[in-house]
Amino acid sequence: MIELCDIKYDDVQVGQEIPSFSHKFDRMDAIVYAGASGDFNPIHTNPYFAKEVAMLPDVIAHGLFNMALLGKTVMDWIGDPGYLKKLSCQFRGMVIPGDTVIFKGRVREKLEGNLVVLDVWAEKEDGSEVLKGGEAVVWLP
Amino acid sequence: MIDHKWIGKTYGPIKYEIGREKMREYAAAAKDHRPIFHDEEFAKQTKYGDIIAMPNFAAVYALRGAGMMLLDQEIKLNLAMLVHGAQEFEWFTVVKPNDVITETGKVADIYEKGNLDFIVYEGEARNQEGELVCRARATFIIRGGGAQ
Repeated sequence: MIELCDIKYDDVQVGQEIPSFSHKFDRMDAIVYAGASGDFNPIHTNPYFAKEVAMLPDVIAHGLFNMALLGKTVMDWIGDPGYLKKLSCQFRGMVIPGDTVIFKGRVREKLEGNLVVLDVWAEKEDGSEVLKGGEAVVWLP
Repeated sequence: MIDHKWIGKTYGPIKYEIGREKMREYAAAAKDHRPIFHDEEFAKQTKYGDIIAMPNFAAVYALRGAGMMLLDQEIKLNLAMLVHGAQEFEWFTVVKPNDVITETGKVADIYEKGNLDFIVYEGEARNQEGELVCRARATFIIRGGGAQ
């Protein structure tokens, strides 16, 4: 039997950072995500609509795409996606093609019942906010 | 401003059949290529026995009612000015191919802050066994005033 999770609740330290994940957003990412998710809002896929109708600087990444990359970052740490119990965030800065976003997390608290609470967020290379106030709750063996 | 009388309006039940390739397509679109989302032969050697959906796939199976709310011709939200403000997912069990998810949801809240209007959707997804799979709460912001 393959075990997906190779970290233990007892080894986790409050304040420890998890490995970050970095992604340079491409306009094709939003087209692929639109197809996969069914969210075809043209602010994500149609530059004319994004700029001229929605008054945005360009097409923007789906918030849920950014959140999925945040989820991936936490799952890369815990190994077993079934141990991700909760994920939340606020969608703040817009991500346009060419932006590099860094997804991060830090252990905030260890709860009874082998639950670990993390602060999670995402920012651009210049430090500006993309995902803010996020929280992940994971169960660890 | 969005009329507060819509708080409590319900959507669903909405059925969603989980497709193996759709699960893989979502994980790949989210740049997540770990084998437990893609490779059955690998998955057979784990406790899951088959591939599982990326948890964030709840954006598809647990937010269909939110899509109905956004396009609701009674509420008439101004979609060109709409952005997704915040999202919460809470998961209770994993999702596998051929699961049949039933979502029920409602308009959980409507409020204003400055010239921003907020509308909140809450949905609950259960599988074919009636087990709670996911709770989702989505907050949408309409810049410069809510309804058309």
